[in-house]
Amino acid sequence: MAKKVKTDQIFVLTANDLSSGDIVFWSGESRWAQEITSAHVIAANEQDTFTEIASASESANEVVGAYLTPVERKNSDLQPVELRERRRVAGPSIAYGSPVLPQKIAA
Amino acid sequence: MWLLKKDGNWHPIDASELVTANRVTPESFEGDLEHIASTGQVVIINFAGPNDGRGFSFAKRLKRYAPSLKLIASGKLTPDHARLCFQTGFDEVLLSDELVARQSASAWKSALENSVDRTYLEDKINSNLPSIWAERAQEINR
Amino acid sequence: MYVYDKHDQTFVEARSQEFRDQVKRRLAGELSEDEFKPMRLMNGLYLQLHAYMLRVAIPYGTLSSDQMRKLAYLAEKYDRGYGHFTTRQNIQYNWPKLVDVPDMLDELAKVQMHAIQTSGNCIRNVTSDPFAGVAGDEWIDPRPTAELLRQWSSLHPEFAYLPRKFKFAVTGAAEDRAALKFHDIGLKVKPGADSEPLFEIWVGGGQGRTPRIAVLFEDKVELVDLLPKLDSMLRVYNLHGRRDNKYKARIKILIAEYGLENYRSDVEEDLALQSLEPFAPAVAEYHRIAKDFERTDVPPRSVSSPKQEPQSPGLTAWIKQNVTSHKIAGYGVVSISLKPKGGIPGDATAEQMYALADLAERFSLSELRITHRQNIVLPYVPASDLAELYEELVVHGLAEDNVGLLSDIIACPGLDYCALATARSIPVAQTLSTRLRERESREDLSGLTLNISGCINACGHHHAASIGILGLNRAETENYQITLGGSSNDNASVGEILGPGFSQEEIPAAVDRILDFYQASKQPDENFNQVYQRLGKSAFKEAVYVAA
Repeated sequence: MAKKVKTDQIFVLTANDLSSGDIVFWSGESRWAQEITSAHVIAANEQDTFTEIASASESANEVVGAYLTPVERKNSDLQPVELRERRRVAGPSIAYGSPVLPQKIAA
Repeated sequence: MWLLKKDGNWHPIDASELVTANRVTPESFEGDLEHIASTGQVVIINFAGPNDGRGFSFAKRLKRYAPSLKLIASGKLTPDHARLCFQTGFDEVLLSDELVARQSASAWKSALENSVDRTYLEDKINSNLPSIWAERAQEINR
Repeated sequence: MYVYDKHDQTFVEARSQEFRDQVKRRLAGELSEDEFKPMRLMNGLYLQLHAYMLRVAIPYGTLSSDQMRKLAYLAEKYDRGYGHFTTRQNIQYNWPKLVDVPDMLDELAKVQMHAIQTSGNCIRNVTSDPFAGVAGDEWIDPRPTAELLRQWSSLHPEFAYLPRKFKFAVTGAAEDRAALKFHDIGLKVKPGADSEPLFEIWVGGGQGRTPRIAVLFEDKVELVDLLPKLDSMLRVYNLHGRRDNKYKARIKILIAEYGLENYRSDVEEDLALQSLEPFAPAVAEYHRIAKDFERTDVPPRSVSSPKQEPQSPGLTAWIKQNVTSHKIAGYGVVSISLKPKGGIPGDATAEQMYALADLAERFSLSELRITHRQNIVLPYVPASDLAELYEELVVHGLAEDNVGLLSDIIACPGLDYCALATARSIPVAQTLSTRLRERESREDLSGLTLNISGCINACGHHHAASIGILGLNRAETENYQITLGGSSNDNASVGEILGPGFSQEEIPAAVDRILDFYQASKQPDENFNQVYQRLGKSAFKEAVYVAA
């Protein structure tokens, strides 16, 4: 269901790479990039065009689950508007996989 | 349209050959097996979607109630459903030209060949290999 | 432990081959994502927030040293050096590549493991009591039943596309250590005449958006009747469970809307049509399986305490908190906490998993368990080895003495990993565990639990905790709701929502106020839920909100 959006809202097209699962962004040069900094900025009135690009790339089995997500410019960076998307772009907020430091044996 | 058999073979079929078949949908099924069994020898059970498994349980019940009925699965199925159909009592799977065009005949045959069709309670399809439990029981009795 | 025969081995290898073919067809474009998705889910492969996630089954939470070593190897070779143990006694890898998954499954098959039905709308991996076979209060080992269910349900052709997922748990002891009544079907096994098992069947429990406590479907079901009955129970659910709304598709809703009596009579009607032939070997199968679980290799140990060496305070505290009495004299059941102060609940590094495998080999007859509270158990540790084991655990950061205390927090992965989450769980657990460990050093915080879920699906069991925390998204900001008075034991209860939610920063202080009020109000021998029931929600609400 299309949400009502402000006409000046900007978007990026994102998905996951089919074989690796990595998060990717449409760079606008017929390819997907790993970083949001390389993402092509999409205007509100261009959404349909890029939805078609998303479907075509999915059908070509390059990516999975492509969608447009609203972003805003923070300083010169692009930042997703939605909480979930901000977390998705930033990665886990925790130090994972790091071994817990051994405690000292109490004397 | 095409009919897929247990052995992975197919044959084309004209829609007119199935006009007398009784078409049922599990979602509207109210439990009257007797009525269905008395309406005709061929029953086509429609699957509403690839994730809707009602047809499997429905076929299982109907086949037990009236083993002589011929059950045909139809609707939104993928090649990987073929094993489930044949192990729940279906005799054949009816495929639309559109499904066959997209998935190809070999996809259905290969999915049937590659599926794990011998389980703990189910015999291997098209083989005299019994279920794992049946074989273990034979081994114990030997 | 159950050891695969050639049939089990062939079956698991064949399933791995089948999935390899499905992945190949997906990568070649023969399968669309819509077609592939149910197939990958049925084999435990999700697409999460950042990457694919593979959930590997640890049936009924029992595994060997070799199997644990393989889990460590997979973490090291195919993931980022760690894994996450879940509330369903499974392990999740957060970063595998689709192209690597077939190889991971082949590796698992080498040690009699798999990812079959760890996700999808099918019968999920069966869970059980982590103390099975060693608990002093056990009537009968639940694992032969659980393994029988595993075999019956694996690739069952009829139940691959149920209305929704279906979870079984089995217990056979006085104390419920498997949250039985929060399962779609819970089986309680008791010995009948001639020590043959008799089953209580509980149905319709679950958490999620509509938490429900299971109700008794039937008592004293004999082994010979068990599987035909369960088969019919699932068939009626498959035919009549709702498919129009995924939040109303679990069997708990069918029971609530259709009525237990109607459901029961449909099951009886279906049973009358059943062919019993495929189930005929089940009784012999049960006894064949049960033999594997009888450990005849447990050497007798002296029960007289050896010469008392002076114990360090750390060791004494750890024994008191993490070691439970064993049904065999001279042994202890050791729980190893995966909840270090400030740590991530349920996470273990590859290095820790290798260490656990080695320690199980040295101290616990090469056997380990995973608990639904996301901890590890070494079930056969000689009392005389406890000190040595403890020192090893300290070296590997696995000696936290908090099993069963409030800081032994259950938490789902939350928005740090999960595509469905509405808020993060792990950072909340980390902050709380740091604070609670400090409180626990000064006061007694046993007899109550704290669980955190990052969305309404309740994978972190927040409904079933004395203090439950549910993370929500309020206008694109994380917000946390507190529930009080839940429990997953034999007197299972669903927690009540206390009031308006809190920001992540406010949560620790709110929890502190709940605990302050509880400590000030409790009478001798009263636990948290008893205090909560006696004083009621309004008293706690006042303490938490008015005092703020």
